Amino acid sequence: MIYLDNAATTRTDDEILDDYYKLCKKYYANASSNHYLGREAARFLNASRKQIASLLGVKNVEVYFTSGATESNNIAIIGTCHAHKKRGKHLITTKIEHPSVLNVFKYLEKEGYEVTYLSVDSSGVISLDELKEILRNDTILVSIMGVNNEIGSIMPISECGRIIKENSNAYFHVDATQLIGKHKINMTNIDFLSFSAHKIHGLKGSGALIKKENVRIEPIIFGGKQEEGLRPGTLNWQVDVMLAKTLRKALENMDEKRAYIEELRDYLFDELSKIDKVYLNSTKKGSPYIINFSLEGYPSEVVVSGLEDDGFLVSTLSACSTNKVKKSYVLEALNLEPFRASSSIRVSLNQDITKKDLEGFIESLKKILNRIGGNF
Amino acid sequence: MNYSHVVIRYGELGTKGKNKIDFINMLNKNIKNTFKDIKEIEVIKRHDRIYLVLNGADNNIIKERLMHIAGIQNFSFAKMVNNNLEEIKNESLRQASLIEKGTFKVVVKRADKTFPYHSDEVVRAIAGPILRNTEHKVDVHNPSFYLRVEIRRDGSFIFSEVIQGAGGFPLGVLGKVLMLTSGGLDSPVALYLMLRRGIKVEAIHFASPPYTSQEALIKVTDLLERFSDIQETIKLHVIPFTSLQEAIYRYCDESYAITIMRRMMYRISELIAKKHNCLALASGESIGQVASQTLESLQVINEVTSMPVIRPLATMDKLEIINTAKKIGTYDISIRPFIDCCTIFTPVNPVTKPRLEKARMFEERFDYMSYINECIENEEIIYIKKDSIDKDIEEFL
Repeated sequence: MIYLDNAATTRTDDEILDDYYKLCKKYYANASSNHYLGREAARFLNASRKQIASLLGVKNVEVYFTSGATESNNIAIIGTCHAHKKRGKHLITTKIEHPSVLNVFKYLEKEGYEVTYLSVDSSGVISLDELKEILRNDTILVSIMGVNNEIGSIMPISECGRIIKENSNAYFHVDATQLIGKHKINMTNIDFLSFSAHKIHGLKGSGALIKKENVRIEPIIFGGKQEEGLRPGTLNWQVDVMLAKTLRKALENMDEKRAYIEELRDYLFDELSKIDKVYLNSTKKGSPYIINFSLEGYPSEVVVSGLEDDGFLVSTLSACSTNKVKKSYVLEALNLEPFRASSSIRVSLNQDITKKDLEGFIESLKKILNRIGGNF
Repeated sequence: MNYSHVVIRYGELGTKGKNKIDFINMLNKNIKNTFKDIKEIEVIKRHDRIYLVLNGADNNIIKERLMHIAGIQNFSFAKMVNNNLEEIKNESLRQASLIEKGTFKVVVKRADKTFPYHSDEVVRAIAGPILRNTEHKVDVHNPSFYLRVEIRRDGSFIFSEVIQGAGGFPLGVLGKVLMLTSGGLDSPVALYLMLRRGIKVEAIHFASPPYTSQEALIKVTDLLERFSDIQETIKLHVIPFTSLQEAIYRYCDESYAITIMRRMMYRISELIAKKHNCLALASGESIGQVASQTLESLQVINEVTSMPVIRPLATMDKLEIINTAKKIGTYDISIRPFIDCCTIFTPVNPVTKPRLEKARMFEERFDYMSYINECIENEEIIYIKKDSIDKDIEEFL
């Protein structure tokens, strides 16, 4: 079996799993307790917070542990809106955000906020000019993802940050779920950063929100004083310790690791572009970890199922039921040929994959296309 | 920089005659103990030096730890080569070429008299290639760096930098004191200065639950843990002080409460010190800082004990103390907002010039000795160690 669905989730690192188990067995107290076991837990937690802060170049107090990027996105976006609605109710995001951002904005529209959705070009990147034009006095928040989860396009985060700070008083939120541990992040003009552990070989149910110290937000969940009241609930501190370790491991030799993935990506691009009726939706300017392509005239779920029979696990976002074709809103936003949005396949890579694995994948894909060709 | 050894020099030890051997043995033991978790490091003792053989261990960690070991005057990271002029020349040139352009002086110590060249000849042999191959110039009076060569039986050590150590004496050779420890800013700094001199400490803390919280004690243990790199285990005597403190307030005038309280603390400390073989008491008092630390107050307070009371901060001002606390990493812990037994009962108008007769008069009003005995009977001893948790944290992260 060759697992090519790493943008959905990754295999948990053995060391993380073993350490998590050991840590839970040895230390189990509540990190908010005042007895020594609790204090030990708190020391672990503080050391983890410090490590994450130093890895990302932020202050210790700017790291909030959460259950993952979805929760971080909700806390940051809704929390900012509720805290700053007196200053304005205009929000900006992109058309191709993850649902954990997009649907938060949909909810805020119902609450009376005005949202501008930035369009993207055919490679899935927003226009900086458009962003600059759209910024207003009453814009309070801009949320832009670092790397798109379906097609791997990289947004110009640093430039966005600069434009936002130079032209408005808006806060800037970045959903870095597919960016972190794979590409460099400069926190200079970023007020909020969300990410999950499980996309970088960590545990599920683990993530963090980075919130700059000077930015005030309202809590969206109410309870105890944990995480400054922004994320109440007994601290899942052993998981948080593992997040610090996961992030450290992900950032180690990040550039070398990405260079290896780029080689794999280049090979896949070359081979895929040779196949008739295969259209690449990702570009070489995007993150090499995600390769998205569409098939003209082939139902992607049949191809995916055929690949699975050969042991290659990939993902399709366009599953069609008998009479309803589900389309990818991300691919629709690229404004390409209409069939592309309903026939896409996503291959997402990690370090364990070899070129030989991908040769097998290409071979399997060709075989399936050959077999079912002409039937549809 | 590719060093193979650390050359460690003893300071004042050399002047101590027949005790010298004991001192060096203690220092050797302390150094070994400090590095027992770094398995690459070997400790080698010679009559006038201790060497660490690095075997690739992390220089920064070693430097940090050596700087806190009492009894080390200074130390240098060095590269050892064979006693061979060619090798000495090459290594000297290599080290010199890594240093930013400047002026230098070569200092050669020829301890191994079997080495066939005289010191002067070695100096010239080393300086020549450096002058020819780098932009450095010689300045024998005020050089920007020294290039030092020590030719010994074991080999020739080549180095440039000499790093100041903590000085003082090897921890343990001077005996032990009992340190009055509150959790404030001063006592940890005083404690550090004692340790740095090479004096072992036990700590005594007065707790007044429920007036003082458990957090106040946690503060003290956290503070003491800071010193676990210097003294592996610190014995902390926790004295339950509540009933005695309440009695003081019942029987004595409020303005004298702090004076009497301090007298009681010293009485208890003296008894504990004697029981645990401590040769002196120590405290963080700084003359004039608060009402109980005026010379008049200190005189009245000190009257209850015949033991020496060492006050390392006596003449330091608050700013100096704060800066030291920041440097040694106790500041952040000390400023945690929990009340200790000195602050909870602070009177509105404490007496700044207490009179001994008056203090005695108040004390005659109650049987304080029975309270003191009760305090001592109920003391709790906590052993503060660098716990395994620090290692665990490192490992799990």
